Amino acid sequence: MRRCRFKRKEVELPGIGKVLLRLLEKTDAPLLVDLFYVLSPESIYNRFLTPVKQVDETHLKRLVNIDQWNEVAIAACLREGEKERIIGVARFARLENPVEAEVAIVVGDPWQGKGLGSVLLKTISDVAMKSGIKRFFSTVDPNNRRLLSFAKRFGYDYKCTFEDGLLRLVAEVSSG
Amino acid sequence: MEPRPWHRFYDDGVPTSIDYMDLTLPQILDKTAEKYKDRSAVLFEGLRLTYGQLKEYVDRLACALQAMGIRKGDKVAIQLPNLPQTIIAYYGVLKAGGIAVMTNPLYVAREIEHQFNDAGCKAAIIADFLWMQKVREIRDKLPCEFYVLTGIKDFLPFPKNFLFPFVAKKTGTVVKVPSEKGVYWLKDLLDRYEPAPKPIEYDMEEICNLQYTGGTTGVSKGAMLTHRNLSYNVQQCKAWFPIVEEGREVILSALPFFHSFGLTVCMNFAILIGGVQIPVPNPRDIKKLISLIEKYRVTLFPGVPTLFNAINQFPGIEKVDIRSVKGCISGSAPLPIEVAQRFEQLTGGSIIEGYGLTETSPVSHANPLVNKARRKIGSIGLPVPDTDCKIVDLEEGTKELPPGQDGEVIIKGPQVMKGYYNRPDETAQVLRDGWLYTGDIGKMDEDGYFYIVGRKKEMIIAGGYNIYPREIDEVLYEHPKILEACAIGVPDPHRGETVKAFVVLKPGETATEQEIIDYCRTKLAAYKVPRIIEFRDELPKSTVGKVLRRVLKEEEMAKLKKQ
Repeated sequence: MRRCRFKRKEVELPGIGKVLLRLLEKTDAPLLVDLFYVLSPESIYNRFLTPVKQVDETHLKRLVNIDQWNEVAIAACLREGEKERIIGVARFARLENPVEAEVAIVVGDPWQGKGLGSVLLKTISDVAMKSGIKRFFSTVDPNNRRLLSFAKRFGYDYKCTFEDGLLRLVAEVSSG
Repeated sequence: MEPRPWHRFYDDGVPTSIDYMDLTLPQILDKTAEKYKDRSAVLFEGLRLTYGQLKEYVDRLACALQAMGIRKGDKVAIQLPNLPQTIIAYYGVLKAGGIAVMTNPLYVAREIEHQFNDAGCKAAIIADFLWMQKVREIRDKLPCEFYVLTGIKDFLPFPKNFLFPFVAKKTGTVVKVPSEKGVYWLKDLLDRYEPAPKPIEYDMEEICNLQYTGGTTGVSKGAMLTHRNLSYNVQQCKAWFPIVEEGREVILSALPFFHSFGLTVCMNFAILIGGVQIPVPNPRDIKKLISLIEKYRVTLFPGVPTLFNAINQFPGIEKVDIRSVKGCISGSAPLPIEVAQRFEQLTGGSIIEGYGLTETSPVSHANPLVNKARRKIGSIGLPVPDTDCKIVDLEEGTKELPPGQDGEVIIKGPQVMKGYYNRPDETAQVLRDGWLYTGDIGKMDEDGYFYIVGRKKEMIIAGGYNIYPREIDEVLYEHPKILEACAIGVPDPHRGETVKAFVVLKPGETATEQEIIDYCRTKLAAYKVPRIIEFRDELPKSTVGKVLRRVLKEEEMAKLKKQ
């Protein structure tokens, strides 16, 4: 089966420390649950567009059971003694047109504003380009100005259309 | 203000800029009362209050509130339907130096608790039945030091006051109130105190109202409206209506006073122009509404499209003489052309669509009233005098877009609020360099008419009320059996839209539609409660797991088309 090309790597981020970037594994479900519980209600809303309060098992399975080609997810991990902790995830999922994908990024609240979002966006963009993805789509809450300006700063010159209270962004994939 | 394209299309006699009276609302009442002391100010179920009497009651209440410890800047909640007492309470609070916190009588305990605490209300003036039904039981959780109660019958003349308990038993608006510490009756205070409050030194920049508005984030927040905001906005409205004759108009106050629209265009407008107003506590009683128009020869009737439509559709309306109505402003939702035409046919008056937000006190735009050729159907009209408006790009909001292009509507003017109370972050999001970012998507045409094409915020408009689906979602998610939930607006012949909620239960749980609706009733004001519940195994989600409210809406629309 086809899989994306991605080699795990470590980056050093001021204010966070050493962060391991690797593909998300099927066994990561409990770590995603831990991540969910350090998200503020605003972060949850911005990621799922619903004020969900607990993790749904079915949905969780779907988030980790991915083929790493049509759906790719990169986890940012911290080492805590023997254990690992996921502090952020970037993912894309191919759309009907295989050169297009929906993209989403989430960073746990304690690690926001420290450059991890940029690292994740760059990493997922690189993987997407190597996997033949040309365009990224994302649906965002228009009040999420932080994301809108972050994407622009990163170098995504997106176009947006407005759909029923939400913004639909589209941009050519670039590595920032 | 610099010339703008829309100025050319103002009605003759409407200035582009106004020479305002720098008076607060209670000062405007004093001025009107001096001029029209013996003219009617309020008519209600056989009661007639002159401006002289209204001012006297206001002064007595202000004096009482001051004696009970209300100082300048103290917040006082007012939770009343439209009654003569509501006008006395509002002006009384302001005259005592307080800040009015208008509260929706439909609010349930959870909503009252949030609002009173968020504002830090020192006192509250409440309808007696609301006290008994909702407020008394949560008294321990509220910051108020005392409560002033009033009953609907308090201002009814004999024999209506005597008969009222028999009539009202059915509606639950007649209650026995046990006496307890810190609870007073408005009538007693008006009897006991002299009409001599200590004069207040007002500053036009100080807060007059904390006007709560639903939030996209699920909690409502208090828009800080200053004396200048509210006083200038009502003066802007007066300038927009060149047909208004001071001291001669009859205003039907059917829009709720707790809402900025009813507050400005009914209550305050009537007082500014020395008109007589008829407060309507229950505007859903269309028969009564029509009889009031006919009986009192109503000339001005601000309303919402669902209200005008209900009158249009009322059986036998052609046989009733409602031709005294000469001007109506419609707000809160788009006014369908058929509704406007039919209403104009029935009344012979003019009905115009306007626009505004709680954050703009609320009127910012309106179509010209007199010159019909200058009205544009489907447009919210032109910015009112001294009001600037631009369409800017949706992402950053920094680039002004040319006519015809869709973007965010931003507004600047003397009616724009100071900010949200105790919410600097949310204030910074919507107020930038004096411009209010409305969150509405619109465009301007070459002539300077504005059009709303969508909402940047997800919102349901039902019966004139703005409802934020996120607030309903939040409540549903609190239910112990619910795993996922999503509320949407679906078309409704009477309310414009109504609320439908899609619910996914936790594994192994069962629930009925009624159970979920009953639960919502305890947490949400009646107009926000979903009328329809649909259970699903899961909610539609995008490939990365975002909930797709849009898909649910599309499914509903497709279903309707099939029918």
